[in-house]
Amino acid sequence: MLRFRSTGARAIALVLAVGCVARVPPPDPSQKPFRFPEDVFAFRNETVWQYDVDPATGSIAWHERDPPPAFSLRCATLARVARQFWANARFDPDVPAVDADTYARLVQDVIDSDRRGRSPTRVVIPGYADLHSFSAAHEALVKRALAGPWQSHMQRGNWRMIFPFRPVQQRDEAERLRASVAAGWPPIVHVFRYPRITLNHFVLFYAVEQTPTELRFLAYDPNDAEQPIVVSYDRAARAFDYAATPYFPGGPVKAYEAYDGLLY
Amino acid sequence: MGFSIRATLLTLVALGSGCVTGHLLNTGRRYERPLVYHEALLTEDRLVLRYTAIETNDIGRPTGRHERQVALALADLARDDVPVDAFPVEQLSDHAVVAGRPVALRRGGATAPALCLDLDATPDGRDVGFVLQEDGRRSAPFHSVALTRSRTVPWVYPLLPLSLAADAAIDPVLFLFAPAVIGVGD
Repeated sequence: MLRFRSTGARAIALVLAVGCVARVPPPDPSQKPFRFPEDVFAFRNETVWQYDVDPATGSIAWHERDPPPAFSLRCATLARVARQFWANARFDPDVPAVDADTYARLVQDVIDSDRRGRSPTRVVIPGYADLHSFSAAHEALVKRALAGPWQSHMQRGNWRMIFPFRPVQQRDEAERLRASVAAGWPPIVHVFRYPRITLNHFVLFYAVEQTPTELRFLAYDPNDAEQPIVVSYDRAARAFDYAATPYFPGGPVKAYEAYDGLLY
Repeated sequence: MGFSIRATLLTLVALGSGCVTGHLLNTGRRYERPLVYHEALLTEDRLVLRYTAIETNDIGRPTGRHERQVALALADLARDDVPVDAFPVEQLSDHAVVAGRPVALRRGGATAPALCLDLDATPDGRDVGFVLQEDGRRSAPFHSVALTRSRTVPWVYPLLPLSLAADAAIDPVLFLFAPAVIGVGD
């Protein structure tokens, strides 16, 4: 039997033991599956950079937008808060709408709710059927409440991206993400390339299709409020593949679940 | 057996394969996937395939093409429950001469000969799979990605001592800073 003598070693072992345990909350029978576009924001996170992607070669160049975008660097925040609205809020279109101050307080209550699981009670948002219609009607109010880019920069799990992933780890991650989606809990996923950072982004997986060769995850991309994207996992290469978008030429990326457990 | 904090950290470094070493290995990793089949032969119990493979690096950039030759057991081709990442593939020397009955390659359209590979090709010309047909009998669908190979390019290995030394210096610092990121984060 292994014994950890020093307090420091015990603390590290305890944090790893607790932090590495993925938390898929128990299923809630009253919870509808995550839907697109009903459960996502009506507005999008704008990219700081203007990307020029050459689809033929896959090369990418970028330059700063002029003028700079007003609402950017919030991909982690948008993915997280979309899930908080889905898990910890309930929209009730049959209850009369309330004033802006009350909505601001309700939005803050949702943002303050459990980021990694379900809160014991749900915040009721009156007057609207879903997040999409609510955020379309109160875009400025919601954007104000979402705070600054620091929330994406300081996402707790960001430490993990600098450590390399082996193919077998990506295989295990893909299986965990599949199981989470299948259990009705949409995981928030950090997708990136490192050390040359040509992608550093957060998306929310909400559906998965299994084929003999791939897992095809449908994902809410905070940079695109109009349509979901596909992030596929190649079973043979044991690698994730991100679809081509206006800001990424498409291709292999690393991926892991964020807002999950103590360490992520 | 007791563990000190130093031993725990060293174990973590080893398990994590090291920041510098791990990224070096990822940079040197190459994937080969079949692009086009150009010959197939049937022996008593195997299907021999010759194909052109495209090689890419860890971020999907093409790095070369290779001519490859492999053999698949007919018994495995008859099964439809073998995962693509566990399909038994016998790698043959690229120049090995194998005797067998030629199998026609059929890419849609034409009438199927008695013995043929019914290929599933994408519009851009990649053969993504096939079904082996022999006298009206059809094998289970075979997915070309089952022939995916990965390897590490040789120039990585002389650099490993350097990367391991760098990891020994850098990784403990990274591990010590990680709790700060976790603590301040969110």
